[in-house]
Amino acid sequence: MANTTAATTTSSDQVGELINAPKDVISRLFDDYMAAATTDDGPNSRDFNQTVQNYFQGLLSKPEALDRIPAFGHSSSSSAKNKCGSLVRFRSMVQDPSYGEELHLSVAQLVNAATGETKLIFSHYTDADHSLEEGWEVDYSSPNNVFTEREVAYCVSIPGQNEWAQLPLPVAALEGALESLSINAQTAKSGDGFPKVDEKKYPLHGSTHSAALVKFHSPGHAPKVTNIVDIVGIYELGHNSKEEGSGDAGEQGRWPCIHAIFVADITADSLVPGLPQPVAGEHVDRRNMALAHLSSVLGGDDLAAHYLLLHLLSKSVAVQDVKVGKFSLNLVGFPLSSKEQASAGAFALSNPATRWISGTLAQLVPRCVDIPFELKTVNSLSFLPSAESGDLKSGVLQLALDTEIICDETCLHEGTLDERGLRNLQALQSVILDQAVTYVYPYQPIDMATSQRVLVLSNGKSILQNDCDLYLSEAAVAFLARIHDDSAADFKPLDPMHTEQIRQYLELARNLEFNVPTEVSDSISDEYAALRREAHEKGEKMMTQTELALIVTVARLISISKGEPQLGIASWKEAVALEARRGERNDLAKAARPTADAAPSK
Amino acid sequence: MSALAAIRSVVDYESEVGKITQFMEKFVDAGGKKQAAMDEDDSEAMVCELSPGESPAKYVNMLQRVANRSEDTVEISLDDVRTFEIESSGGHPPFAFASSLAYRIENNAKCYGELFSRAIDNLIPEPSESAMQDPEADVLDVLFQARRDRDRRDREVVQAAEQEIIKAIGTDGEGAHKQALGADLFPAILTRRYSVRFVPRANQAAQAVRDIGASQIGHLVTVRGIVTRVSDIRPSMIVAAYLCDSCGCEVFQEVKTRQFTPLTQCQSPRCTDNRSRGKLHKQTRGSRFLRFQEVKLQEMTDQVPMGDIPRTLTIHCYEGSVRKLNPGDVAHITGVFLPQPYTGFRALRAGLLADTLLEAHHIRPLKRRYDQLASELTPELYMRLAQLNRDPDVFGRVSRAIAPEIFGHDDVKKALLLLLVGAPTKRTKDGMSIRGDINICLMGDPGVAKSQLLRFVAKVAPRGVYTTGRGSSGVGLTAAVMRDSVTGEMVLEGGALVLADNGICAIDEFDKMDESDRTAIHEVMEQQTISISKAGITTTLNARTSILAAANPARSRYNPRMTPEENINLPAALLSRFDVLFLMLDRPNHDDDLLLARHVAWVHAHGRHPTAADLDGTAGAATPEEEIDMELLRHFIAGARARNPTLPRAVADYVVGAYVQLRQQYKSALDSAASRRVGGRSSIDTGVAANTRSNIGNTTPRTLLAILRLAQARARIRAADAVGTEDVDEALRLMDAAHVTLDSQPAGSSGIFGERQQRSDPVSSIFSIMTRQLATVQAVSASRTASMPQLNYSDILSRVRDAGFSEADLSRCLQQYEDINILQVNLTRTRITFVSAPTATD
Repeated sequence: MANTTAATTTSSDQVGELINAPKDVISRLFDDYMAAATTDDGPNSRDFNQTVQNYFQGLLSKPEALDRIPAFGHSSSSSAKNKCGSLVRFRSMVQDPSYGEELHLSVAQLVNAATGETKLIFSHYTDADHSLEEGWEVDYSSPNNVFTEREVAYCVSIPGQNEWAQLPLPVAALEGALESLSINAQTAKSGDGFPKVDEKKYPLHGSTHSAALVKFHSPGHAPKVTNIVDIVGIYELGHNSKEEGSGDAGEQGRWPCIHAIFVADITADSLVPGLPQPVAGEHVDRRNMALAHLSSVLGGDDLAAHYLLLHLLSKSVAVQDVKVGKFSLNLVGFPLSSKEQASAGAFALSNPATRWISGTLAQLVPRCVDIPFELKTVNSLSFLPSAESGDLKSGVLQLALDTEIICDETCLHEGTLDERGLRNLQALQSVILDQAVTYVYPYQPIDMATSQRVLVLSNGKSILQNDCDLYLSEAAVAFLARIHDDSAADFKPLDPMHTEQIRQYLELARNLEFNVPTEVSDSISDEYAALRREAHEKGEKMMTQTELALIVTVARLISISKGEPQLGIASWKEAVALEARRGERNDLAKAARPTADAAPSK
Repeated sequence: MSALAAIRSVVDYESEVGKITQFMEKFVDAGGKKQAAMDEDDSEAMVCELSPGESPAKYVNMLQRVANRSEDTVEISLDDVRTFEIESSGGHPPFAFASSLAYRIENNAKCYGELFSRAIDNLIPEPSESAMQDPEADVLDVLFQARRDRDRRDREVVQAAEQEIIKAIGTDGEGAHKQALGADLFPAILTRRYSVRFVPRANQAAQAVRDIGASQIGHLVTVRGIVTRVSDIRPSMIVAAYLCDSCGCEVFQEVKTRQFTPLTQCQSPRCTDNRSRGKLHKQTRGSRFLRFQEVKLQEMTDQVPMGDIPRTLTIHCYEGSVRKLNPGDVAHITGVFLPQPYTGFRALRAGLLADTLLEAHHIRPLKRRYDQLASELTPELYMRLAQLNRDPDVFGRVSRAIAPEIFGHDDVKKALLLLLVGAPTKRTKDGMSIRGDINICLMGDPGVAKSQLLRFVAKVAPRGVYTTGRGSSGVGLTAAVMRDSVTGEMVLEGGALVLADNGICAIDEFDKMDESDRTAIHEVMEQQTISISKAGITTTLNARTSILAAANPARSRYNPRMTPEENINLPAALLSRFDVLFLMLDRPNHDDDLLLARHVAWVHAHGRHPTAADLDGTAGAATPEEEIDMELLRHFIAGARARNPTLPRAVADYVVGAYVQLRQQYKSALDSAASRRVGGRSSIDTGVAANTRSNIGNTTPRTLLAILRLAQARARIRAADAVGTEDVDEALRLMDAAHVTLDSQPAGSSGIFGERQQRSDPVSSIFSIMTRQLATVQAVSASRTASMPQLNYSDILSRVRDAGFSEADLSRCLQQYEDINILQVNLTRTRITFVSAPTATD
């Protein structure tokens, strides 16, 4: 026991040094490496780079060690700053990888003009700090110099990342946060010394976030746009190659940079640490737990809870040019927000009922973004990322994969939707239908595949076309109408343990491999053909390809929700029954709302 | 950076200049050789572009033209360099490219540019006589003349002085004075009236911006991309001239970096000797400037890996390369990839970093072609394409690759493929053009995936635009006047139809379109232009686009009890402009339904589209068809569009025959309909028109053109040089297939052109009674504006009884129409309300 403690101490000391003075560690490693290398060969930068990566990764592989690395810049309320030249961890989304490759002298030979001495330095993971000692100069003609390329990307904090899924704040920063709770975000943002951010390059304009230019040192492996990366690297202030001209004056011209040493994986485990993997059969228990929770949140509407769960489990998969498995949901029956209600900001919901749902889901999924459909918001924001002015500006829909987008249509009032608003709604519609976001590039807009879940909460049927819409039961409607700002306190919160279990269940089930056995597929086909023939003979409306696809999707999600990797006939039957219940419910609800249904549906 | 080049340099640059000189003097290109041969033969037929009296050596001529000021660029073709080397090595069989001069040029282009300039400086001839008479000497000429005169004077003075000095103090001072004279020489670049540009080898492949990296610094590289921004043309100083106010010396400073520190103190021997510290004044006239333009090049969509976004590269264009590019152009740009160290304050910040740029040498704008969107044709793709073209069922196979996720509708897909390929546009001698673009309208029940078909077509076609009739009026189908976000200038921004010029415009919800937009479509579909009159701008823009429209039937679902005209609520003038009109109805077919459901399940199970074999369950029995992805499809279409099949006489006659026959059938159908209409006036049947071929299936002269277009498009797909009768047959069949869907309402029609039995079922008869009654009611009350016309139930019942039907018949009719949401009966059964007013028929 004593031995192990000793071992941990030394290793933790090493980790401490690694975190506080990573550059010293690297230059020590480099000296060792040069000493070991045969004299004839010049330094092999790539080889050495690997050594550095292995060393860091080796020491930091354990979660305990990884968690000691301070998170980069996160908290708006804290006065704690990241130290230049220290190791930081940044869980972020790649917003703009088009900075391209940067050319850099990674191994430079120095020569002392006075004494004629020479030495090699390794400056791979740094830009700024190459201040040379007195009398030393870079010998540009040396054959030992090595030029390397690195890829630069602008990374921002993950938009909509819920608090529980963020990196834990370092202890020091936490203390700071407690002290400065009263300081509002405004002062913190403009506060001196806080790293610079480009507001236009964050999807949720006006929200507090952090951003950094991340330099990836293994070209070709740099992450793509909107990828989520958990970067471990050295933080420093550097310059921005895209910024033209004038911004050169002192501190203001400097941008936060992170030299990525390695990129940590984000798995379901890292989101819900310390929870054992569920065993077989436990899936169904978890499912029931989730259903019960969602149902109580929705005022006891069991059917809606079912559909909401399916929605949360959906994940779109590209099949050549079509997306399979997407399941955008429109829940109808939320109380309208009154016109007078003050807008709570571009990405905050003002309606207590929709905020209630959004708050509940925020506890369950790692990322969610609220978009209130206020005319002002829709007309003024830009939903699509655009590079028309040269630099890639972000848009609301430039989101990381598997983000829950909650659209609140209850605050949409009569008024004029201008051209921008129309384009914005069309953009959202194409996310729903095609799971694609268009990046507006001059002369050639580029459609980028994405995978988002869209949940529309509305009073009547949504103006957006969704995969599935469901009218809430009367009880649920009444329940939601009663919700006011304080009612959350009356509601019994979910046990934290259960919350974590549901989170884990959702993550695991969503990523299940899925398959349809031939027998099932055959019986579905028979049933479909028979249904159509029957309907035609009776002169009723026949099931269309779209409807069939919807039922298959529902069946697939039901299977997944039970943790079954194969579509079973039982799930199919359940899906058909569920869809029938939904149809019945919707018909009844439509009949009960004569105003909405007088005109023939188009 | 220069350090890198210096390390590797084991090249003797002096001998390189010698080689270059030899090349410039001796190289004779194919045209020159021909001329030389002809000169020997004393032939008079001079085909080559060289004017008589010129030497056969290509570059000697070029230099002469440069000397004569008729050209200012010396373009060195690397192919020529290579050819010359091979020839001059005595045709010695293959010597490695890597040891050739051309290779060295490619790898160190900036340096070799200078070497070529040096060689040219020695070679450049005096201007020929004719050019000397040119009175328009520019500023530099005057300046140079003045400078030469001054030099001569100086020399005389100096020589006189020298002699005096030599006499006075011996030979000691001589060296110093020679130096003084030498320093006074102009920098070579100041006197050069040309710039050296390399033209890449023909087989040098164009790269994407992201492929160019540190290893290519200093190399001559070719990139392909789209120009997004072009700066104004600015003068860029390369030699700064100064005048000293105390000694009158002209001092030159060569500028090689982006920023430079101007000289302030005269360094001339006279000033240094006298310690007079003469002040230097910048001389704009005496300095040398280059035309300079900065261009931003962005990667094309096809060069961007999946899920990534395009990168940009800065291009510097000098002298002859400026004004070659406009924003939006696609071009191959060859240039030298250079690092550019940060200057000034940023250099301190950036440390050991460098920015990169491309110095343009050769610019080749690409034509806006169909295959622009398709990526470069790789050998592997080429093989697949060739294999595909050999397939006898190429038409069927490729058409099945259109929207593979949509099941069935084979004929529609075939028609869409023909639309994608199109027929060649004909231009008559008097300038009239006959459109080759094929227009198709899909009309059908909701849920038959019309929108998906449209989206797919718009995605496959470059310059394919998908828009909906409803949404388009907001953004503008034609054009809008917008303010440019960067420059703030007003610009005319093309709407969907203009953007789709030379492409395809897919318009969904065609029936919901604004009347004004529809009028614009009229013009587009025949004239292929758009006239715009907005914000004081009146202009006509080209819109050579195929229109692919989708519309829902009048009451959302096709009502088989009504005539096609009633179902299709589009004006006939517009409909006749469509080459093919498909009616896509949703009707059950056991086998198809089975396959479709299997298809849907398969996609969920396997994450890809199934092949025919997968669905038949007879896996392995049939030869597996190679999957045609979108990439291959685009290449196939691009290839097909490049062909221009002719119409042989015999086939033309065949078409004419078929057309005449169609006209006759149409005429007889019309006649019989008319006679029946006259005779059957008393009979209660609105289905009269439906019994004939509806006028949607009209055979008009436009039909003839449509047949020709379809046949030509199919010939293109077959890779045939001429249209064959089988193409015409297929075109006719497709048009018929479209007509069949129109005519076979309800199921059980008797043949394509044949008569259908008189429809006399009580339901439709009763409905027609009601519509007629409705028309009367509306005419009387003149309240057409009333949104929901109503009828009195008892009134209708009595009329129905008069016509010989029972009340049961009536309630059956009401039930059926209620189901499809056309009318509603109130609970007490006193009123019948029409949900939307049916258009009154005759």
